[in-house]
Amino acid sequence: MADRADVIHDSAALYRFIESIEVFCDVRRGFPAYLEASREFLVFVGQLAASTKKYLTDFPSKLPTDALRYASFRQELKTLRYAWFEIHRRIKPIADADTLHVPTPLISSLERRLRKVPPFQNTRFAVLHTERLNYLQVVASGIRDTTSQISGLVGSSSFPSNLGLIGIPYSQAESVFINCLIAHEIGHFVYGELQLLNTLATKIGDALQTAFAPAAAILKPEDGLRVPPIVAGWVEELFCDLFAVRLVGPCYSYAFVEIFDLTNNLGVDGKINPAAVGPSMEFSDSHPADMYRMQKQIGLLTKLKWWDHIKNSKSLCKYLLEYCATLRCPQFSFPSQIQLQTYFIDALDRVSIEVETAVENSLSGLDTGVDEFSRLKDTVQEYFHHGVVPSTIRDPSSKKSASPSSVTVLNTAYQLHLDSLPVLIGRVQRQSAESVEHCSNWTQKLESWTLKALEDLELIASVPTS
Amino acid sequence: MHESSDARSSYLALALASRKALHSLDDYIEQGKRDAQFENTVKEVIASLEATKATRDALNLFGPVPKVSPFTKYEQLLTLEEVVSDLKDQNVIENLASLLAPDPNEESRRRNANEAVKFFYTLENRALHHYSRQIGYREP
Repeated sequence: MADRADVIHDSAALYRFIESIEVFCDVRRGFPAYLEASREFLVFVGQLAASTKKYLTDFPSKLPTDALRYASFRQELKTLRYAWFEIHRRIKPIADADTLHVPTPLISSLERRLRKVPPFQNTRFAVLHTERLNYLQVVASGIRDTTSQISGLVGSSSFPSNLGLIGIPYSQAESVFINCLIAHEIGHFVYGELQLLNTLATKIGDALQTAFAPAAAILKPEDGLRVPPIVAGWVEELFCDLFAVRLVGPCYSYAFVEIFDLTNNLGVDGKINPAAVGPSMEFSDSHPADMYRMQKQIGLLTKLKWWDHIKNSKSLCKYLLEYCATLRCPQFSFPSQIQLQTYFIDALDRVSIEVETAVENSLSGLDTGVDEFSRLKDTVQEYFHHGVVPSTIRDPSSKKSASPSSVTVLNTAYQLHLDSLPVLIGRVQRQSAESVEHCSNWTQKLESWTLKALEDLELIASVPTS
Repeated sequence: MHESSDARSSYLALALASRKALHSLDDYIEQGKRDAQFENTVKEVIASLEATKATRDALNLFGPVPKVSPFTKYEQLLTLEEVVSDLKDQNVIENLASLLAPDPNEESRRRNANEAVKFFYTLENRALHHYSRQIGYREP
């Protein structure tokens, strides 16, 4: 029969475990330096650890006298232990992501852009590292929910409001282009903050009923439970893609093509290679097909008038985007649900227009940036071609000095990377656009100039205007 | 976007929400006080159980679309079903609904609350079990 001494023993064991995590949250030394939001998160978890330890100190005194209630009482230690397992998984990735190891200017510029939208004017993002080289599979929000729930149990302070968590691959601190995918992760934050799952639930339910009506006779009871979460998950992913396009423009789509190496789907003639494209057309339980996601991105890029600035590109990426625009639902597949795949994909397609509306509503009032891009891109590109950081440029229309937006800088740099890197390299002695190594080196330089421009723009924006 | 930890997070969220409900039930038993969050939790559980049952009985084509709740994701619905099956001698939905009744007498309040403790304890237990399997950690 367990007694108070046993409860003290078990509480102490958990106390010790939490203490071993707590030491990673000590930011008092001042080094390494963290983004303010990352520091805030670590301080919060440190306080949560202190509160949980205090709770455990008092825990044995609550040992019920009623033996029937002992089981429930004791099980709380197990729940807290497992909850701290989750924190354990995430603390070191956040502690490792100090300012030397994250693309701080890019994160700051994305934050600043999001803050222009009223519900997000106080938003900031802590950054954690992931060993996976895939931004699109990082769920940083889980730890936010877990810590909030622990706080509710042990009586600690609430999770800081407006604080988001973004996961990036640990090796990509100096990259800019591939880090445009962070915009998708911001989409997950916004989706959660605005509780869009609740907003879209009715629409998803209606789309399921309509799309699957012809399949009612072949649906099994377990399908009835399994189908809605799959489609709801796809809806969230689609929202985050379209949100990213709306937030930063086509540079997100370019990064999407790059990380999944989707230009591998093109043959030597620049047309689609049927032998290669198959897997990119397949939906999985967690995500719509890559090419479906691209198709929806192209639709939005066209509506936002970004396509006018992409269509003349000679890059393979442009040809891929053009091909995606021609795709139709029956061309996609969902191998794990072959018998029902048509209905699944139809259900998502029926909600997609609602998703676009939700994206527009979530960023209501935010300038797309396309007009400024149209006006300044040639000038910004010229600066890059000469190796000059384009944080302050001469506006060709007003003939006055101007600072381009982060959207203009990011998209101009990425388009240069896709279309005219040889122009830049050709201006440098003993460098050749025929050399993979030289191309890699000058891409790295282009990215560092872009980061520097973003850093300068942050500085310029922080100076109060008279 | 969701990595394979999605299911694990769902189970942990369910366990933590069950524990929170058990805290509220302690207060309810001791002091007769019901907080709004607890009432909301009970309503969400009842709604999920009813929707799941209707789907199983082929009355609805589909179960609930997941919402911002620890009781509506696929893994959570299956765990709820498991617990109802474990407690098959009880009418779980009816017991939970009785917690929301206005002004119950002392005896029925304690009886209903104790039944609910049994339910949420079992739910937390099953959720922890599934969570531990997800992380590759087996209970002895």
